[in-house]
Amino acid sequence: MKLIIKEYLASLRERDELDAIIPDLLSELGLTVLSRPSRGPRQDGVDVAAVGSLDGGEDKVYLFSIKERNLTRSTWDSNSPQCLRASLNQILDAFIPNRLPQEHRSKKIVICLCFGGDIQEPVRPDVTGYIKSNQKNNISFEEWNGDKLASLILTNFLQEDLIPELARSQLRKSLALLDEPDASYGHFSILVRAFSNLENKNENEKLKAIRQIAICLWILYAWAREAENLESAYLSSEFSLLHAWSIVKPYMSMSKQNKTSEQIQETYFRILHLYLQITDDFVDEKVIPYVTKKHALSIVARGSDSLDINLKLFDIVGRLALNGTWAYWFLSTIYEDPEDAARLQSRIIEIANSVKYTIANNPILLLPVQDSQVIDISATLLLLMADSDNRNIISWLENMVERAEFAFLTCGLYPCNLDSYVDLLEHPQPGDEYRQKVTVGSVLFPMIALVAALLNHEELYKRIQAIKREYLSHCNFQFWYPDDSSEEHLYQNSGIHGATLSHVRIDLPMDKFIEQVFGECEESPQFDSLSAVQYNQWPLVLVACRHYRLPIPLHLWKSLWESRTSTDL
Amino acid sequence: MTLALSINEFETEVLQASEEELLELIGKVPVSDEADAFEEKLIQLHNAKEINIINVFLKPNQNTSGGTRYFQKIRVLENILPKLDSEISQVIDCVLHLIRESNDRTVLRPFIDYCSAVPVRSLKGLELIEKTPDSYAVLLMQVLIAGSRVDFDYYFNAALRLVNAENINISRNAILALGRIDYPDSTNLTTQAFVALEARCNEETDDATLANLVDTFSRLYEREPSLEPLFVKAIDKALLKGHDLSLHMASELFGFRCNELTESVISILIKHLQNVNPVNQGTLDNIDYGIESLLGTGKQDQVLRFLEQIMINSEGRISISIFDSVCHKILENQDGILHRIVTRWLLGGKQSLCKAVSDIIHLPHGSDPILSIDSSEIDLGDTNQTYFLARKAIGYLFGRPVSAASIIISLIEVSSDSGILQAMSDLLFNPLLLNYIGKVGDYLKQQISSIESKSAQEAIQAAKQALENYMSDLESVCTVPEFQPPQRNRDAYSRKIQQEMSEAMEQAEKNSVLLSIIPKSILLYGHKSIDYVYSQDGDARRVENPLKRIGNEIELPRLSTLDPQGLSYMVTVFRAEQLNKNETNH
Repeated sequence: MKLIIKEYLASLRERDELDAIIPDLLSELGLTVLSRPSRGPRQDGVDVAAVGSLDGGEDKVYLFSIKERNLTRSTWDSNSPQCLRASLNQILDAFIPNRLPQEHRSKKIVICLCFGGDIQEPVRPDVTGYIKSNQKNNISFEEWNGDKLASLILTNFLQEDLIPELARSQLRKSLALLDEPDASYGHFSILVRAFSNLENKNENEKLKAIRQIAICLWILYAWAREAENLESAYLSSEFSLLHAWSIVKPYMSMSKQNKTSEQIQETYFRILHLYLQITDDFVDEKVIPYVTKKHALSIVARGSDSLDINLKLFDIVGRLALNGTWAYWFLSTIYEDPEDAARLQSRIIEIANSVKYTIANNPILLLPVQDSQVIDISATLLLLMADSDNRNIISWLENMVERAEFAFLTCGLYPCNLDSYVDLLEHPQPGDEYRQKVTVGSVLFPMIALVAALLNHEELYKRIQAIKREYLSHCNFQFWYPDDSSEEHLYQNSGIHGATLSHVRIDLPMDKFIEQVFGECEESPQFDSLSAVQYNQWPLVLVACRHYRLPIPLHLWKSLWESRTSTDL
Repeated sequence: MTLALSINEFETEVLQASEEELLELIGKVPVSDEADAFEEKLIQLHNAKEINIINVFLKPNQNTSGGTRYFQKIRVLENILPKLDSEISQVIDCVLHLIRESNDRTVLRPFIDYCSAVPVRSLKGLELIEKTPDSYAVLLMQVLIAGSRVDFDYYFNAALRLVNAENINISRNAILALGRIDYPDSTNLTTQAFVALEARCNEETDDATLANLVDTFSRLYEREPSLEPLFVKAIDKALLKGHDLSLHMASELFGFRCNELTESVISILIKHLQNVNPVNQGTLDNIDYGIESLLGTGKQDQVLRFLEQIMINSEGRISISIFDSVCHKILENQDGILHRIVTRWLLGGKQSLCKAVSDIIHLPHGSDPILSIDSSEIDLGDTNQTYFLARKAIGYLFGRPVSAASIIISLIEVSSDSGILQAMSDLLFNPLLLNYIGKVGDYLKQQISSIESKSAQEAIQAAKQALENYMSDLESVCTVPEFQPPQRNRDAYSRKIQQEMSEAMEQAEKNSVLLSIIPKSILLYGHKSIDYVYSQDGDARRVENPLKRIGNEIELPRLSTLDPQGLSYMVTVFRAEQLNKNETNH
């Protein structure tokens, strides 16, 4: 286990990675963290400062200078101001005399040389010589290398008395099976569930649990990055984020703030940050390089059969859409920093364009094989709607309807309700009886009808009416709405929840149809009561829907439509 | 097992045998020069009333032992029947019994010889048949033929009389007899018979009788070609009223004598045969032979129209592949007929004919046939036609991409319009090159150097360049492990393919004449089989048979995986679209 953690530490980058876990670790060790890493202001060589007692001794001030991976000659001493020796000099020359808080000046100071790997042997004499020359009565030096950090993490985050051996073995298995992402994710999700089982636990235990989730996700991500396969980390980050939300949501209320609850919140936001980093990595490294090339993503996704391409590409489009939606959400939460706003704006455009290119260059995206792929389609449509790109939306949906008509007419690969891959391999089979059996319900077609109605595209709307009449008269067109139990189950998928508006009246004129489905939103106010919505973390609802394969609530469409209508007005 | 007895021993055994045993002995008469002696002995014993061979063959269920032995017995009877002294009534019963039992009518010819051997037999036979037509009418034709050999006038007149008999079976057989009797030379009796039959034809509506009339008209016409005008009229009348049986009879004339028939006779046959019932395979086979013969003559145009009409009238129920002789003849492309058909039928846009083009081109195994347009069948000034033909070629020949590409290249070679050259180039790239980088790519490489027109070369080069651009974009694409399907899905897919392959293999083995009869041995390990072959003296010889790898490679269209639905949609659109004659040029 220690080797696993060492490996993970050695792979971390300095900025936002290694320096992000040190404060948590110090807190777990019982120290009080005085300052955390920041990018802007001058730090005078100190990445993290903490005060307190380790191993029952006297209180000391611990000043950390953090470097990634192994300490080499160039990272120890070079012309760069980022080298460790320069940082140590700054600590001695500037931080200790000028910036050490007055109340801690009488305490002994330990300067910690912290790095994820080891000191390379050729550098060791230089480091030892430096320490000998600079240590004084009240100033000492300590080496916090990967080995020491791993031991501390193991004993403080993953100690055996708190985590059952089963959970520890799940982490090992999830790392060992990174090349089989589904299996890896399966083991990791067991681990996260074990951490999240917090009934009758106090705040400190909850803080520890959420920190454990964070550190394990970090370990998984670091390993996945090394293995160049982010799939398990992607799925696990969604799962961890949703479970972390379940832990943090009682502490989101301003009235319940205390130090522990603040730390729980901080850890949640660090998991959110990690989730976004993983999804950004996935999108930027694995998807975007291929979106502008004809068939490239289809070829990348080429499995044994076109079915694999269909399943994977709708999944990818859904992930792109979610990534763009988070950027959109960030933009809506930033009021002050114009630079950040511009960066996010350009990110939204980049993702929206990537979605459009992906659809244009991978025609398999013109018809899903499963009705449940409406989840990815809806997420994508929401993003494009937010981008006000009606032309591309209509074009995509028109193509989809055309292909669906053709598929129904020719017994081609029409969207069905089958879930099992084995059954999908045999789909479609001839005969009306089979068709009726595998198309018992649909959210996809009413969803297309709704978008057509919202965009006032009567022709498209009528084509859905015709599909219903000619091929799917037996099919229950439906929409899903959250209910009272959704808040309890949505984030952990702990039970069936929500209610379905059955047999939606597609035969109605467009305005009446909108009234019907959005009217039901009024009847289902539970959406607004969802903690993720209340605390303005609404993209979590999309993450939950994508991850647990639930239709995206129409309330999001309604509010988007209302905001667009009011803008138009 | 044949007889290993002397004649005397055979005689002794025959005389001592019960009826069942006698039949077995007859079955053992050798098929050799010695047979005559045994058969003569049987005739002698029968005529001496020592045995009754006819009685022996009248026993029921003789065919139960089946196989060659039964037919050997019949062969002996056929050889000796004309020489047997037996009552005609008994012989008629025996012949009918044998026909019923074996469905083999070869015994009828010896029966004619039997009847004509003694004049009174035909007379008695005719009386018997007229007396009990329901039982015996089926042998009337043979009795009349036999009788006409002895007393032509009597039996000719009897036939003419019986043509109008009340009993339909008597009438049908009398009609047939008039076509088969040997008319004396230099008489106008054929005309007399023809006229009598024509009068019967005017009244007749029964399909089987009309079929017999068609048969007899044909035979009389064959004997007397000057009857042609009457023949054309009569056959037109008969086929107009007749159905499947009459058409089948006409198809025999068309299939086996078409090279002797005049233009007007062929025309009248074609006029009626184009309405052939798709379920009558025999009739279709006859038409196949006829068309095949005529394709090599100057009647190509007329025959093609006939072929087209058959397929159009059948509304898809008759596929060109039913006419396998015709298909192979077309593929020989004598006088450019293949190119003519491809151009004409694809450009016509009729689904049944376009499908026929596809069936013909998909027929040969191995490499795709190289095609070219027949410029006499297309208005090259009309770019709509060029574009339409190219898309139709792709739609129907997508499974033979080099054939489709060869049509497009031949269109490129004769086109000068820059817009249409661009359109052809685009079609060459997508869907042909894009889907079949290997086959079509190799073909284009071979072709580009042999094309003289610079603009044509440029158009082909542009298609190749588009492919290169597409491929170079994809060169940077590497494996992304995140996108790989889960192992369980890969396993499920492998299992499915394995099962399909195994079922296909089993089916192929069932359908294969060779594999279905030879025994199979499976070697679990190694790449050689060691066998011992034993000679007659028991010596064993060791034989090593090295195994050889047998493989076949097919290039699947790229989009069948990347976008199967889109590919299917495109092919369907290309197939379904029709040329709007009022459209302006592309």
